[in-house]
Amino acid sequence: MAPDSAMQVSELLLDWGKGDREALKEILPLVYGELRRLARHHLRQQRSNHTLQTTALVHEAYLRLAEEDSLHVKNRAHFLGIAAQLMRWILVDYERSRRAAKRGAGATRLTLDSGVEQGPTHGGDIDLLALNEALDRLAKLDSQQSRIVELRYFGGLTVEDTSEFLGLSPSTVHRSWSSARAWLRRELRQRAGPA
Amino acid sequence: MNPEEWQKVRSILESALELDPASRSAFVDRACAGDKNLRTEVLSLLSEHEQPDRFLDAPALEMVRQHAVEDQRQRDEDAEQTLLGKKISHYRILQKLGGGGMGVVYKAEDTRLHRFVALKFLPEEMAQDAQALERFKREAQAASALNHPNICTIYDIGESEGGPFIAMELLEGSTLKYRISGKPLSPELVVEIGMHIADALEVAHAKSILHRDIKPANIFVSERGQAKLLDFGLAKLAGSTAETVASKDLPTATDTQDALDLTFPGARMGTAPYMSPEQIRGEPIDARSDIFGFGAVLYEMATGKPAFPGETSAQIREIILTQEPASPRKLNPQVPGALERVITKALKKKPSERYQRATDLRADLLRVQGEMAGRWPRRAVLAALPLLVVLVGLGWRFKWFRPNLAAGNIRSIAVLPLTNLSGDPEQEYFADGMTEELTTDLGQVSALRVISRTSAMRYKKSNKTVPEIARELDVDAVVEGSVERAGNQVRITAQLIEAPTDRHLWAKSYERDLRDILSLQDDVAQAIASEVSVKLTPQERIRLATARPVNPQAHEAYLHGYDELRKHLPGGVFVASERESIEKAVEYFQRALAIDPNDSLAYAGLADAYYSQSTFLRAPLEVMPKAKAAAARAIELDDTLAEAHASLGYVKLTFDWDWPAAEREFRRALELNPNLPKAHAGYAHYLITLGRTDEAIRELDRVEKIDPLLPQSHMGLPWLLFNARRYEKAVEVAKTNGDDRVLALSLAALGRSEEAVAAADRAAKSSQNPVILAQVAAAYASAGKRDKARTMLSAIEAQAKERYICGVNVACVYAQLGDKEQAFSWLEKGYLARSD
Repeated sequence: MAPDSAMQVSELLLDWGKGDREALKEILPLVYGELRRLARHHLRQQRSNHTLQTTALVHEAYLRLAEEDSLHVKNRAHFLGIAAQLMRWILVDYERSRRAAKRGAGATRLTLDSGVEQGPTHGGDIDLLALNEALDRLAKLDSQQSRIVELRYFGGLTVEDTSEFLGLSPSTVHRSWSSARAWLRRELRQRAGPA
Repeated sequence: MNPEEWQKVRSILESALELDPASRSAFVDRACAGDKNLRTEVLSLLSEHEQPDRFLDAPALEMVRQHAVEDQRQRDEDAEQTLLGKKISHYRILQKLGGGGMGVVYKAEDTRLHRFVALKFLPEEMAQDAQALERFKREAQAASALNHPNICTIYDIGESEGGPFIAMELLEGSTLKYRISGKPLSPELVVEIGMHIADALEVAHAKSILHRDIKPANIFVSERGQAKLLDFGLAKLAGSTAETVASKDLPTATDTQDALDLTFPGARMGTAPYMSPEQIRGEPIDARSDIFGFGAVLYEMATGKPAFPGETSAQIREIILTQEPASPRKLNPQVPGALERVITKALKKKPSERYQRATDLRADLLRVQGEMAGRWPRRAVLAALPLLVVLVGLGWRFKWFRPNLAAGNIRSIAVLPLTNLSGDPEQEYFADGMTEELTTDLGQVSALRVISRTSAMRYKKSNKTVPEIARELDVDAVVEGSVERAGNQVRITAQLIEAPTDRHLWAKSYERDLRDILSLQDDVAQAIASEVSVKLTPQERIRLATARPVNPQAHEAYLHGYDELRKHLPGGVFVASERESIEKAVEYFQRALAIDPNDSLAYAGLADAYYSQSTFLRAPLEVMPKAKAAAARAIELDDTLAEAHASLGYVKLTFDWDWPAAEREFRRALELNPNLPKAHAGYAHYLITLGRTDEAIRELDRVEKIDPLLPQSHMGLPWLLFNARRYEKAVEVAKTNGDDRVLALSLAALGRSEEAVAAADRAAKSSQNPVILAQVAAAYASAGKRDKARTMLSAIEAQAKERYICGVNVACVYAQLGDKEQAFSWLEKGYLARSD
């Protein structure tokens, strides 16, 4: 049954780091569960006076999970990599349900929403659902650039962490990031109609 | 744009960005060399780049968090706007007083009685949860029974568009938390407030109402120095903290302590810094848990510092479990020695070493007060007067109290198998079923630890004396008795025996129609509970008092099915069972349902039976939906059935992979019956799935306490330890439990091949179950006996042609043998069948 086989499988496939997809399947629910739990917890704190660091959150999840030697994450970098992708799912999902709730609450609220008055790309307020789709389109043009954005924006990784994780030089990461960012900004603006 | 074009664009764009802004445009003109489209594209992106709006600068999480904050503020404002000046029921809302995790509080006018009251609205999440709502009402009803000057009185509960609310006494003053604010109070005030709280607790505990969340934020101190305790029992509702009814000028607390106050999801109810060790461990709590929280409050009043300081809730919990707080006198030399002793005693880790009753603590505080004043304080004399009168009155009427209340010390109990007096061996299952159900009923009493039926069943034909049995099971008392059935009449005779002395405390005989069998069991359980004078919570009393009538034939079929399932499911912990029993069990449960389509227990049984097939008989895709439907139907019929929630939890966990739902179900089951091994095992299962091994071990420890003689089980502690790679410990525990399968696997992992093979030999003989055999084969393979492993594998694979076998287990053997290809092929099979 589940935990037994889960353990057994992760034991069996402990070298996910070598590219084994099956092991990832086992690790994902653990990381996802933990991340979602932590994210929700922190989101619920509602303290506007302290910033919430993605890396701190992920690190917390990592510490909790890595303590248990049942989790065979090869190293921190791999963990950060998985986490960025999962954070993307979690956050996009959060915004999606938020939007659904607003739609339910009526149109008056909707106009106040998403900082339309400042434009869809304003630093503080981005349409995550649109960004998520744009990122998928970017992946078709250059999957590495899409990954860099995912790691930095959703995973909260610094340029240095990102370069280490992807095995690129920091300057390459920086350059790719800049052009991807410009491209995404335009995508979001165009989708939102003329500002 | 296609990827090649994009590469061209980005290369020019990125080079341009390396230059200073002034020379970019000229560079682009040159680089595009007349390609107009390319130039437009690059320039357009360049202008995007030059916008000063910090696009994507802050990580997504930060923005989403801002949204969460905004949403909350918006919700609060909306609620406030709609409420102010409005009339709800016969209350006119006047102003907002405060708000927090437990909802928003308003000052309102009661237009009928013309007085001011505080209205507390439940937070939205809770108002939408039907179960929480139900509990909210019941708790409010219970708490409304408390009428005492040191308890904030509950006047009324009601419903409005904004959800349910409580109307309560409007308090002037400030919370103790605000009063303390990091600085010690004078010892005199500490003792004074302490005695008020002790008074309040005394009254509540006498009515079997626990507070569960005593903390400075829940204590209000009026201008005149009178303390009032707020929010009785509310902590139980949502696992969130009770906020206070604050007067208007009170600052809204936003410090870090409040952040810690937010109960962590998945944590026990209560507020971390004031939780008792037993509460943290999730054990049943009683009045002594409140005493601990009270001790922590006294400590904080006396020193200005929390008794158990820590950065995170987890850290605080750890400290509470393991560390003694610093001496109060060290932090504040003004604290009298006598007060320090009171605080220390209230904060003992073991409930048995603390004050047992609030009255005793109060008496000691009174003594401290006397010592401090250097004389017998007037207040004390006045307070003692009525007490004297009462004592005199009692002495006159009853001579004296009963000298020996030995039964009051009973905290754990075992129901020994009831003897079948029907003279018909066919009725054995009936007597066993009654034993089981009586055990279950008693198990619902949270103040009692009840040994599971499996462990108790070992003594069915035993010659051991009661004290001997009690020692082996580590219980304070046992229930013995007999069942006699003639036609549709049943007679149960039960007696309660105090274990160490073998003294009979109580005996009674009941006779009923078979139709009322459940109420009969409830009566017996309730009588025993009251005899051992454990406090029943109001919910427990309701649950024990509301047995529905059953259809005798349906119930009989249910008991048969249960018996079949339990033949191989000791203690309700799922083990891989034998095929025939499960199929028979399914038949019996279906028969029960054919007779009584509303038999919720039979539905829960059916769910378990289907579930049990899924490892080695049928594919999960085939049986799990059936199990889910049956469990859901059981809950629909009876939402208070712990078994049904646990059954649904298993499906949610292993098939739906819906972890939050699984957790909800298991926790609900444990709340309904804190002694249900299946629910503990399921919760442990969940914890393991999320990688929370240590918590899982604690949970299984708990199963072991309920069920010390639990035989080797699929989900048992040895198996868990093995999977957590704590091999040494696994070997040790597997030896004690006689679990040769895990012993073999663990020894093999430790490289002790010879011993491993010996254990595997024993394990191979003990079962025909292909899943167990696959695990044994894996042990052989890992111990180097590859031929043996291969032979077993072919036997297992032959079986797999006839029936479903969880592919993962087979894959493991292949993996041990180094045959990656076969391993993956079996894993794939498992995956396709949605193997649990």
